[in-house]
Amino acid sequence: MSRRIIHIDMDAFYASIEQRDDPALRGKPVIVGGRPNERGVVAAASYEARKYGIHSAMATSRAIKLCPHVMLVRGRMSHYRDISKEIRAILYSYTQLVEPLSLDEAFLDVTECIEEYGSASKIGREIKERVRNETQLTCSVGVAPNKFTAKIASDLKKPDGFVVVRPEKVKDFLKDLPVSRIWGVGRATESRLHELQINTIGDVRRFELHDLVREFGKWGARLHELSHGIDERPVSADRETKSISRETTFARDIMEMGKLQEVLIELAKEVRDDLQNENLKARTLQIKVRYADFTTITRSFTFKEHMDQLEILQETAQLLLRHKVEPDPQGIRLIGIGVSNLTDERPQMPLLKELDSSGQNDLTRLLQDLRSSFH
Amino acid sequence: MNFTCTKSDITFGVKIASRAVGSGSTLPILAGIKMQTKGSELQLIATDLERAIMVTVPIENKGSEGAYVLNGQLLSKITGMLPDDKLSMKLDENGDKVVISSGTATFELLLQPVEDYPQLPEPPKETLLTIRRDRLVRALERTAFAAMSARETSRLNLTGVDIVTKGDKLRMVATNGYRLALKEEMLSGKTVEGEYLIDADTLKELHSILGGFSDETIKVAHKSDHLFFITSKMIFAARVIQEEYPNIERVIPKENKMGLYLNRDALFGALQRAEITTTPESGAVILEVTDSLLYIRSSSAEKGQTEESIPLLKPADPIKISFRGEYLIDALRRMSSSEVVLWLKDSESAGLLETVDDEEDQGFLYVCMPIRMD
Repeated sequence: MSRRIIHIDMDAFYASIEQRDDPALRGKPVIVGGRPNERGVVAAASYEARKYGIHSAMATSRAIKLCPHVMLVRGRMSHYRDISKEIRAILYSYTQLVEPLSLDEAFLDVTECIEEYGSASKIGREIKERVRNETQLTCSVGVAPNKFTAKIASDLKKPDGFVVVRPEKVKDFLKDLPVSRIWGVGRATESRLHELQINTIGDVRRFELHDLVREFGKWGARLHELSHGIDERPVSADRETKSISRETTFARDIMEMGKLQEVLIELAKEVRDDLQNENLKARTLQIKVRYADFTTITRSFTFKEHMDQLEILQETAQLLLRHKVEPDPQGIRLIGIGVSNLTDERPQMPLLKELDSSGQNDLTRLLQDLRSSFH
Repeated sequence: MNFTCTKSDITFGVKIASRAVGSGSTLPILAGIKMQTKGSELQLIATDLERAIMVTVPIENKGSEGAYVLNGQLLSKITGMLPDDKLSMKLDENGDKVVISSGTATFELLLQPVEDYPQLPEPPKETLLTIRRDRLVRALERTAFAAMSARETSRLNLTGVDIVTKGDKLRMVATNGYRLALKEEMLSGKTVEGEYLIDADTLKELHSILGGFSDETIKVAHKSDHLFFITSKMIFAARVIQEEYPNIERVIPKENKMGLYLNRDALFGALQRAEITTTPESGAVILEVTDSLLYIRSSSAEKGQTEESIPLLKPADPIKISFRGEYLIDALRRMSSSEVVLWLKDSESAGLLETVDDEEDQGFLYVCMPIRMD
C-alpha cells in the first residue's frame, strides 16, 4: 500500500512574521537579515521583495541595490522559534511521525491516520486552516505518496499553495517539471543533463538505469528512481532539532587569531543559550571557517557524552581553531560554530556527588581530557 | 593419575571450577583446569587471577598422587556428554596424555604444562566469620546486581560490593552511582571489624555456585588481598579491590516521610509493562499518586505509551516523580516481601524502597535517584 506524506512549508516565514507583527511592514518589500555594512545576508524575503529578484542567502548590500526602498529588519530568532513550536504542536496533534527540516518546514507521514480523518488531503487542508487561524500565517502544503513528490508539490503553487498528487498520478505530475527540481541538481549537473537532452524529469525516463549510473555514478541510480516517482525514504521523527549553529561574517577579513578566538567564545555562548532554551545537549561540535577567497572548511569534535557546559563548548571551539585550522595570510571572512548529535533526554540524577557531571570537579576533569585529546 | 569416579561427581566439580576458568588470552594456562589427586579425593582448581576456585570430588584412587592441567572447555564438554554413569581417568604410557573412558567412549586429552599453573592463594587457619549459607546467598542476590559493570566504568570502586563486618553483623552495599542496594545479615557468632571491597561479578558467580552446595553454614576468611568463602567441598577466593568505597551513609535518605505502601507483585508487574514504552536512553517511568491510586506511566515518541494504576495500601499525599523503570524492577525482582514501601520526599530527592515485614528482606534497603522532570 502506498504511503501518504504531507510536506508543509511556511511562506516567507521570518518575513511574514515581521509583517504580521508590524502593520507598517505589510504589503511592502521586507527582508530579514544582517546589515549591509556588516556584509550580512538575507535570511528571508517577503513576496513583495522577491518581485525585485531578491532571494534568501543573497548579500544584503545586493538586495538593497535591487530595491533601494526595501525595509530591512533584524531577525528575532527566539521569536521565530516560539512560533515554529506552535506550528509543530498543530502537526503533532495528527501524528508523532513529524520530521521537521527547519523552523518553517516539515514532513508528516499520515498513512496511519487516514481512517480517523478520512484522507490525507483532508488533513492537509485542516493543517492549512489551523495554521492560518492560530498564527495568522500562511503555508503551502503538498500531499503525495513520498517525500520527494510532496516537497515538489508544496513548492508548486507557493504562496498559500495546496497541491495533492494521487499515487497513480505521480509519474504524470513529474513528467513535465524541469529536472532542476530534483535535489542535488546543481548548475554543473544541470548543464551535463542538458547535454544529454534531459530538460524535464520525464526526459530522464528515456535513459536506462545503467546508462545513468555510468554517467552520474551512484547519484544516477537515485535520479532514475526519482524520475519514476520512487522515493522510499521514511519520515523520521527522531528529533525536533537536528543541529544548532551560529556564525558571523566580518565587516573586514580577519587575520588576528586573538580576535577570532574572541568571536568564537561569543558564538559558543549563543549556541549554549540555544541548547539550554530547548533543553538539549550536544555530542558534536563543529567550527566553520571561510577564507577571504570563499574557500570554506569545517572541523569537528565528538565528545564521549552529551554536553551543554559553556566552558566545554568554548574550549573545544578554541582548540579546534588553534590545532585544526591552518592560518592563512589572506584572512578569514566568516567564522561559525555548530552543534549536532543532540539529545533532549532528561538526566538521571546522580546519587553520588562525584558522578554529577555539572559539578566543578567533573568540569576540571572533562577539560583536562579535552585538552589531552588535542595533543 | 589413575582413578574412577561417578559422572555426577565429576560433572559437578568441573561445572563449579569452570566458573573461574580464564579466557586464556592473557595467560594460556589459565584456560585449563588443574586436577590434583589426593588420597580418595580429586581437587579441581581454576583461576582467572581475580577469583580462584578449588572444589573437591570423591574418587576411587588406583594410582599415585599427582597434578595435571587439562583444557577447561574440553573437560566441561566431555563430562557433560559421558555415555555411562561412571568414568575412569588415567595417564597414558608416555605420560603426555590423559585417557578418559566411560562406557563405549574413550577420549585422549593433551596435557598442559602443570609447572606453568600459578600458585593459588591459600586461606589462613583462622576464620573471620561464619554465616548461614541461605543468608549469604540472599545478601549476595540483593546487592551484587546494583554495582556498576566493569565494562562501563573506570571507577573501579563502584564495580565492587562493599562488605563490612562488625559485631554479629555483616553489611553488603553496591551502587552504580544512581541507585544503591544494601543488605544486612546476622552472623552465626561474632566477627572482627573490617571492610572488604570485592568485584561484583565475582560475587555473582559465588552466588550462583552456592546454590549447588548443601552446607548449613559458610566460613569466610581473610588473608592479605583475598577473601575466602569456604564450604566443606570448596574454597572460593576473591581478590580484594584496593580502593576506597564512597561514604554511603550520606546518600541514604533519612527524611522521606511519605510512604507509598504497595503490593510488590502489582508494582513489579505494572513497572515491567510500563518499561515496554520507555525511551531507550532514559528508561523513564512516571509514578503519580492521586486519590489513593498510584498511576504508572511511560511514553516515547517512537513506541507510544502505557498507563496503569494500582491501589495504595495506605493513603498518601499527591506526588509525581520519575525513575528509571529498570532500576526499580531490578530491586523488586529480587525481593520476597508481599508488601513493599517506597519512601519519598519530593520529585528531586532519592526514593527509598524497603520491605514492610518480610524475614528474608529484613535489613534490605534500596535507594534510587529520580530522573529530573521538566
